[in-house]
Amino acid sequence: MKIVVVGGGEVGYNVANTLSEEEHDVTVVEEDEERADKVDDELDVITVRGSGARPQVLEEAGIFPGCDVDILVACTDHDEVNILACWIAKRAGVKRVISRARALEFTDSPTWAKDLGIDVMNSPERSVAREILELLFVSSAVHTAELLDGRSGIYALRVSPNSALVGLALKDLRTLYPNFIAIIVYIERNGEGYIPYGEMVIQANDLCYIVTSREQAWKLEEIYQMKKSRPLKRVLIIGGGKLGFQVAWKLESQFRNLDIRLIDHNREKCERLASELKRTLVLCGDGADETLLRQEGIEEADGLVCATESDEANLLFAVIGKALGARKTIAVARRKIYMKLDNYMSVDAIVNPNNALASVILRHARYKSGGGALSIIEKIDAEMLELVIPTKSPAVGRTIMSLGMPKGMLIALIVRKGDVFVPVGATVIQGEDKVIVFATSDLMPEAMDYLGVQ
Amino acid sequence: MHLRLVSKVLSLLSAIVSLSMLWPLVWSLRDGSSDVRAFLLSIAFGLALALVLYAFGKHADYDDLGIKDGFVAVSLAWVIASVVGAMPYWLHGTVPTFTDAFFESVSGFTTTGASVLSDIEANPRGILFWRSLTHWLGGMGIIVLGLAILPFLGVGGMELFKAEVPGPSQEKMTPRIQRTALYLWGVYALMTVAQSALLMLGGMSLFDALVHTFGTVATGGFSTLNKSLGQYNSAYFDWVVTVFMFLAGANFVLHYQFLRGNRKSFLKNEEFRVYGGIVLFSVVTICADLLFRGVCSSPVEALRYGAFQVVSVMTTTGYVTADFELWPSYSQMLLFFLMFAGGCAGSTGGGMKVLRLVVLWRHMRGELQSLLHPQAIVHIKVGGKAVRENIISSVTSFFILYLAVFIGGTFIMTMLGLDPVSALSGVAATLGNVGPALGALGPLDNYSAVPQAGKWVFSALMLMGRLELYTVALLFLPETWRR
Repeated sequence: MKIVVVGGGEVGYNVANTLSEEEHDVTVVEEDEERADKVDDELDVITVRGSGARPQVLEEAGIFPGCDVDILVACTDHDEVNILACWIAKRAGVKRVISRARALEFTDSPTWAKDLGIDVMNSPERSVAREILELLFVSSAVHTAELLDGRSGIYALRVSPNSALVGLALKDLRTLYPNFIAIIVYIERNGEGYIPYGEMVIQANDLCYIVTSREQAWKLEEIYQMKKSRPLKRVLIIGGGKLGFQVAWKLESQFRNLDIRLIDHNREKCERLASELKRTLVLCGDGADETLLRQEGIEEADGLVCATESDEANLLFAVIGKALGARKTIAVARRKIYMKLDNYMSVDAIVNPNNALASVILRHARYKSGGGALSIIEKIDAEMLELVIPTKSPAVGRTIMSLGMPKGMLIALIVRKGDVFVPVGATVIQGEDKVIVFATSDLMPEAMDYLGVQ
Repeated sequence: MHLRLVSKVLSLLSAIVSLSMLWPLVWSLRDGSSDVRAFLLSIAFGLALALVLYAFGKHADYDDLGIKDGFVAVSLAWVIASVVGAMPYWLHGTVPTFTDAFFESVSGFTTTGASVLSDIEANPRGILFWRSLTHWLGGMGIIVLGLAILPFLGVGGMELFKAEVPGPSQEKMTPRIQRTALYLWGVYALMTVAQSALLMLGGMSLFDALVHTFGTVATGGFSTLNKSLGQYNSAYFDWVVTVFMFLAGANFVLHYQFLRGNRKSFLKNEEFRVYGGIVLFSVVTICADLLFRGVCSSPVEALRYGAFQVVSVMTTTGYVTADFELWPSYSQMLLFFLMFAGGCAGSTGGGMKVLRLVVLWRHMRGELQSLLHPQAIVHIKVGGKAVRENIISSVTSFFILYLAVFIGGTFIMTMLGLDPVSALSGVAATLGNVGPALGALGPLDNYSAVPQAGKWVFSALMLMGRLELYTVALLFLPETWRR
């Protein structure tokens, strides 16, 4: 496919890199000399220097009426540039345009994207805020991602040595917990990943990726970690930027009795936050101020979210918070290399808005039904895709067992007439079922063939 | 630096070079000539070398290929190709020493066309074909060929591509390096087929047509005849070769665009216009010189010989149809300076490349402008596009390095006993990958009389010229070899 990526920053670089490795023809438009040089030197793409908001520059990148560019991805730091680039591309007949949106207003409702003629508009701050919420909600989870608009989710938990699951074959899980609807879709053991099968035996310290409905997610901790799950009582947020605000705002609306405290050092910002947020206690101060943190009850905090503009500060605040007794610390880091630090620092989870955005963009670039695509969990080479089974599909009327799907692919969830359930081998697939398919990245196209989805 | 990875890349190159000897072997077997054994042994040697290199670098990952590795791999690839390529000459006894064989091989791969053979016609066809085939392989670049046919080099291939393709900055035709390499070789192959067909229409045998085509499209200059192309004394051949030499000296990206339907690709390109301008100016003035000084009797003859020699030297091909040492001094001097100019960036020609000269000229004009208007912000442009600062500085330092190597090389050659004219022109002709020089190394002489040490110096100069100095110069920097 021919793909034009506008913006060669952290997000654009990663997106262009992955796409060119997948053998697409990629052209990167970047105005900044230094960034353009870096892209030019390190990636197998064509680099066009100039602003992505200028038709002339885009024409040089191959976008003109009647061009054969398939996708334009606009991911600069400026909404104006992104929107203009998308608009120009759409007018030139580019099939799909994907834009990053920094201002939250643009993604508040889908009408903006529609009015602007943009196929996908994604705000990484928004999706990362959701991820942070999930991480707070299931506090033992190392990674999470939501499925089906938040009705279900995928949660990565480590099996503690004293868990009842240790030594159990996967096929016996259901007999042990008959009322708990969940499916393990991926197991990471000693750094190796496995797609599970019935006879596989769970071992201590396995990192299991589990798909389950949101209502039941709290049970995961009891089963995998032998910890009594307790409701969230207090969450501290450091940094009142877009992300901090979004997290506080979402927490307010989802948890009635939660005690939310937000710390930011900028007084003006605090004033504004205080007027916009309903219940959050906004504090003006330094995130590394021990007295302040103790005063605000860091020892009692169930969660500490570090979401300032600086990656380094966030990581350090999270370490300090952990040392002072916060139960779960989450740091926001935008640079890719920091994602590897969770093994070396006492931070419970590191979330990366750029990564989140890059994976959304990649999903849309890879699959035509981009809107139904779900999470790729960055760490593992596997994908989840939300597919609707066409009524004419050869799979309709057959049991999952009889499809003879290859190892490395499984159906994690089925949504039928509003009900969400985990299928078993004997489940019969029906037309217009919405299924969530989990497969290693190389098997995904084959998986779609099996289910008769184009 | 990843030594094992470099070794793995080199093993591929060694394999490509030795397998391409199968082609001349076909001629040898048909003729049943004395060089069959030499070719079989050379192929065995090349493959064995490839196996050893591969065994050493088996576990290296191509994705690790970094900038340093790219430069080192490309420089060494050319050295290894030359060593493997020298084997047939040496084993067959075409030349007395390995030094001579290596010189001949380097001269072939770098498309210089300087020869140590006195009696070319006495050699079997297999050897002659191999000489020209090295031209053809080296013209578009062995690494570029490797990139085109070995897709797994992937992203790391870009470092290799940059280190081999001539010119201050490389324009990619397509986003993917592999396809760019494939298209370049496609255009190159097409040109080869076209010229061979035209030469055969004029009555050349398939063998002679291929040899002279390889020498032309690669801007090499090896022939099957002692007096080069001039021996045919055919105006038709002269003009076909002149045209194709001129085309081979143009940027291959332009050929590609032209073939894709962009009819204005050549005229729109500023470098090509300057290239054409220089050729036109030289042809006109040399023709006038030849006519008025009485070397040629008719304008048609003057044009034929003038144009051929100008294009041959300018594009650094080195075919000759006239002994320009007998020409008036203005013509000789102009030809000498044309050796420095070379073809366009992204062509198969050697020399400094027209694009660099254009940038230097504009840069100097810009400096004059800033003297007149001290507060002006001057950006120099080529083809309407601003040339970036780092390219200007790399072009100026290239120019200085080129002159430094030229001066240093001349000193060494005079130290080894060459007369000043031969030393000056010989260094210019090898560094520029031209071939024939002046004095004792003139168009009808050859390089066999150069002392042994001098042949090694010339070989080094040819490699430096082909890889545009920096790639080779980096080999001598200790930092390159540190991890």
